[in-house]
Amino acid sequence: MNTIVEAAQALRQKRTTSVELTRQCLDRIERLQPTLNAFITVLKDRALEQAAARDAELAAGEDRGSLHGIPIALKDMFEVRGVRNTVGSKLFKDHISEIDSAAWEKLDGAGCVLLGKTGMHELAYGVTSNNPHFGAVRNPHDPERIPGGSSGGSGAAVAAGMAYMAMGTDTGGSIRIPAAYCGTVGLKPTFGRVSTHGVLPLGFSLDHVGPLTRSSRDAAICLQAMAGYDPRDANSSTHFTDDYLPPDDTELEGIRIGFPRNFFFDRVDSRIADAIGELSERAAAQGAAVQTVTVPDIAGLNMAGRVILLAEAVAALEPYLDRREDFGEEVLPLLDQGRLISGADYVQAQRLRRRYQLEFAKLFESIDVLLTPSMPLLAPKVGQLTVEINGEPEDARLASTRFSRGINVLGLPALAIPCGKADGLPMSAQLIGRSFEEALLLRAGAALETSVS
Amino acid sequence: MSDWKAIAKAKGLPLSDAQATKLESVLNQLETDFTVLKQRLAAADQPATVFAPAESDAQ
Repeated sequence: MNTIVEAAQALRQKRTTSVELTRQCLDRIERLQPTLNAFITVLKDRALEQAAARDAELAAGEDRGSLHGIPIALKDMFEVRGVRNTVGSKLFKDHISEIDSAAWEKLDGAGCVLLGKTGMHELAYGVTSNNPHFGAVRNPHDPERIPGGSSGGSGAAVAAGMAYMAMGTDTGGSIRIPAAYCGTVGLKPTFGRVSTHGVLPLGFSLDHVGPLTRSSRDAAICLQAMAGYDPRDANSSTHFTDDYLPPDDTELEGIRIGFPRNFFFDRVDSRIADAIGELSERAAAQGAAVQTVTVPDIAGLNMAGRVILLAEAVAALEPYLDRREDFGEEVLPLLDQGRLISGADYVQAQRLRRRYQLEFAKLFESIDVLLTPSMPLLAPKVGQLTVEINGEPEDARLASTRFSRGINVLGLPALAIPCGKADGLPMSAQLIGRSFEEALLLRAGAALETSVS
Repeated sequence: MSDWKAIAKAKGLPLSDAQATKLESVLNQLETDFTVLKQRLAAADQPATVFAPAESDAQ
């Protein structure tokens, strides 16, 4: 499968049509869905009709830009009027949306074709996408393994060539984790950069939405279409939008990249550590000024994030808490924990958050980008609760969020990019930047990523 | 250490003994770690979320 950039070029050169691209995706969905379970809802007829309309527009000289006619998918928590929106939950299994999410409004306006809604972890509250109500989503690189989550169907769909892009949400890593385990690019923009209107909240002060794609350039095209202020989202930012598309001759000259000496390499699969080390050498060879840095206490930051999320998730889902039988056995205990978090501890976590924000602002005075592994491990097996990293056991959920959760607490933009494979499974690097500096991250991503295969 | 089982009961959570024990274990660990973290806070540390009055309130 091609990237969005390549498909867009082929469309304009009349080497293909939106209907043909859509048919190719639908064929792959039909073939791979029984194995991967990447979709909850496939909109075959609607997608083909929409693609035909996009082709007619192009033929009439109406070109909406690079996303015109491109088949994409949405995680099944982005509302689309008239389409089922389950949020991976029994609570909403029959819910038909009456509104369009802001992200879909923008993507629709940019000319995308909607293939369907992707599978996910129940209520986006977890990292495996092993869903008790809709079945386990599986990793295209090894169906015995998880695709990550909570946007697991989106990661699997993009990696398997079922869609050119799929939207995800990220409250503690839920875009970057599936991107890393499935070997795609995943962009979590700055908090408030892309409107969350029409997406069921999980953590009000932690939720982000963003694309999973086959390249950083593709992610830039998608961000370009979606970024901007939305008065319907209380957290939406009025900060100006940028030109996100990296130049063709992307280099890293002048970019200061921080390479952490603490935390991020303490408990990591040695093959991933080596890959990130090689990536930093490649960055230096491309002109980046790579320097080792000491990062603030990420474990403490993660802890503050856990307390905030436990409390916010309960607040978000309170109307449904008495329907205990409708929650899966992984999500319900988290909600029970959240119900016992005190108001004072929630505020203390928010006070700690502010301290860490200031400490990271200080760090980013001396660097432009922080380069870390996205994950400390390769994709675990479906149903595996404990993982072993260099001989030490660790809870699979906490291990998978160890490098991502804190970045949501800070609200900083972060980009997961593929950086090779080990045992046939993808490895991934995380690039973290200053608020609203997605353009710089995407430029670095374009220069450093390996191709999605 | 908080008596999590008693708090859960007071909150009306219908937990089995096994569920209550698991909950207690997780929250004990969280409380231990978070108590250490909170000791770093200074009196002047404000929360990250700040109330922003709507424009109509300011008029």
